Amino acid sequence: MSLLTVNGLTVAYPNSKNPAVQDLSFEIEAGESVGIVGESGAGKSQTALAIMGLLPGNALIQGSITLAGNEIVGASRATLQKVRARNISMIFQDPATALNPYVKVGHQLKVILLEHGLVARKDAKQKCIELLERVELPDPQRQYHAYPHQLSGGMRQRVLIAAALVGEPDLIVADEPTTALDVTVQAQILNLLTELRHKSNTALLMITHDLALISQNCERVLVMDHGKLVEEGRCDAVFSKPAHPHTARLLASVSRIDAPAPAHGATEDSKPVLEVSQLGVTFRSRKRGERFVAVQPLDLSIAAGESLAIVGESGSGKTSLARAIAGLLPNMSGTMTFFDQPLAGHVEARPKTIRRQLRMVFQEPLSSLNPAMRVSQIIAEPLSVHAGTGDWATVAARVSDMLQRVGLRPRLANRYPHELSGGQAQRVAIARALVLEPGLLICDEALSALDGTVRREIITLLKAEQQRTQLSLLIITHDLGVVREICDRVIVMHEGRVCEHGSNEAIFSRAQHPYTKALLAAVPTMAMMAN
Amino acid sequence: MNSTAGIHRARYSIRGNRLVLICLGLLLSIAALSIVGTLVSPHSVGKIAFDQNFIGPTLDGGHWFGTDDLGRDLFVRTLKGTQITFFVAIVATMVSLVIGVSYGALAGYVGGKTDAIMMRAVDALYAMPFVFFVILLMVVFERSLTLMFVAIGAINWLDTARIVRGQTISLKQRAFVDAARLDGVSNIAIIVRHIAPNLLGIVVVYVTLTIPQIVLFESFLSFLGLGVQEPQTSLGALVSEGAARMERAPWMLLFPASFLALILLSLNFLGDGLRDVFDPKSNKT
Repeated sequence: MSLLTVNGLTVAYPNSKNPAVQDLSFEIEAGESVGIVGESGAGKSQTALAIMGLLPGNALIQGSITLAGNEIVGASRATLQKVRARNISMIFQDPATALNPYVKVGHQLKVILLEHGLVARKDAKQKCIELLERVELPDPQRQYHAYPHQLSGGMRQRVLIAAALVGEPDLIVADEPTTALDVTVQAQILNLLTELRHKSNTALLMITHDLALISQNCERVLVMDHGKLVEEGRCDAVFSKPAHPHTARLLASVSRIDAPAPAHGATEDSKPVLEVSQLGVTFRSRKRGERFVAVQPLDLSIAAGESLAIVGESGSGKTSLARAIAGLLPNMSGTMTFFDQPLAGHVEARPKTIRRQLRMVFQEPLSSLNPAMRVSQIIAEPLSVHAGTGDWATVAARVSDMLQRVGLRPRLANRYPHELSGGQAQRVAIARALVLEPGLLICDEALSALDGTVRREIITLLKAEQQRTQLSLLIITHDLGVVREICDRVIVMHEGRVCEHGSNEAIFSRAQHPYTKALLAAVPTMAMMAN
Repeated sequence: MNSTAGIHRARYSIRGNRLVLICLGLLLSIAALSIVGTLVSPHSVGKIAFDQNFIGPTLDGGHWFGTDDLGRDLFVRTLKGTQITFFVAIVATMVSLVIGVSYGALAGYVGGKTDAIMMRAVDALYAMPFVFFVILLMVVFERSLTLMFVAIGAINWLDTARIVRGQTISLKQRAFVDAARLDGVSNIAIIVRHIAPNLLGIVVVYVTLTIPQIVLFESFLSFLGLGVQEPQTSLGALVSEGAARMERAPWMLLFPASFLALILLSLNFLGDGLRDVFDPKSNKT
């Protein structure tokens, strides 16, 4: 008999037209690893929550979920409590929010042990330290007394894995377990998880939007779209011969680091648009005298029509660098030249002619759009600031023209940001940045929050704009696949320093610096995927 | 910038929130009654008729709520008092809003030393015994409605400023403010166009909770005899008089007190309901 049997599962909410999950059936055998892949809104997380019995009270659930002989749908709290930890446990997406910030991590583990009566009170501490040892947390004796904020993201995720392992469960549900982590940390965490699973023959249900992760870590894959299961099968079979068009679309949207390098956007004699010399960023800590150097002094330049990528993990100083160039960090040093004019370090000190040439797109599309303004007002604002844009009718015409260029229907102009999807919102943000026909566009992780297919469309859009207007792009990202696909040159940053700087080809095929090599090696690849 | 996301959201969910609707309806009908009632009644606010004092509530002669110790009609006086109370509450709230929102938004947006100085000034003002201060004002100057607005507004804007400042600081860190700065939008325009509309939700909720406070404070001042001047009256003054004559003429306390209680309850429930309505997490459209 299967460990987990999901039969005809439907999850619906009173206020929404379409069910979040529709007639879903699948099985997981003991020790098996299964991945669910899909875009946001595909119903992946709802499925995970249903299996854990964690759906909110207003969810309408039909069908059945049987786990090791226990029915989960409609089960009492007591039954669920018995099943959880012993038969099933969950690893959450964001380790920073899944741990209680006010409680020491050791204590959080101890509570689970005692709550389920898995160990006598006097042995609890010892058992917790053993668990922390098992997840290879350095110095578990000391970390037992650490608060979550004293641990790094990777260490926190290790603690969560330890918490999931507490009751030796038969099945671990991992909902985007590494999305919040850097790529090198992601590789470590996944290796650890696989190793632990093999030791105890634990089954895994992994939920992610990253096809490469699934192809590396799972035996079988379920592809979901709009709440429905569209394809199911062994990873190699599904990824090499996708039967459903949605699977094919997902596969096509994967940015691969082994893709061919793009044609160089800038020609040999392209004029430099931006030249930065000895740019450094130092933050003064609140404690007097303490300084934190976010960016060590560095030089860089971007030519017209060129795309330069700045790659690094969190804490590498790449965002500080981008914000310093945008003029949003007053505590920077060094000099900048933009179109042969000196560029002031503070945005308020820059003349309007420069401001309209240097634009930026931010990471979170929703927080970069004012929730109280309509799309048309958002796009029109830069036009109205940079005078000489003409009357209302001209502005309206330019706004609707811009909307079309970024692939949005004109009737979206009257919407508010919260009525847009993530992809639409990011298009609006790009429209706002491009409406003044800038010379340089800074994209600070502008593609990171988007689904694969949407990301693909935005990349195409940016490339088209670059062709049309000789736009230069400064792309800040941790996603090497995207870099491979659109950037001419790459700067790799680590702890505020430039480790390596070279052309796309040089970095991806002849990396010199050990950090660059480690970074490239950690990127999950889809070896079995058909070209 | 007439309509904002907050109001937009609110429009959907107010309809679904029965408590808010009932309270809003109740407040509007009390306001309407206070205007229509004074026109319909044959009596006037200040007319004294010693031969008709202490008449209980009756349908004869138009003394629907009875008369007071001087023979004045209590129906008209209660409704007039309601008008004044509403008036004081709305104007004082406006005063406190205008000062508080601009002060708080400015301090929060500029930040740094300016913020520190502005907010320490607020702290210093907080430390002053305001009831005493208001009483002093009322004694030194002529008692007048204008002075009352100023005095009450001057107390309340401190809270508003603190709340608005906190919100502004968190809004300021959102990427859309950075985007506006890159657009070249001036600082004033950022406050007016980008910060203020997003404060609306919390401010609206705060206002509905402030009004009852102001109504109570006005009643308190009138109760002390420092409020509105005869022959004008307010609910607070009427309750004060009624309390003194409670044994002889209970209706003198009963009617103004029920009006006051009804208004305060409605406003408090309204504030409570609006808090849910404006909480973006509570509804997604």
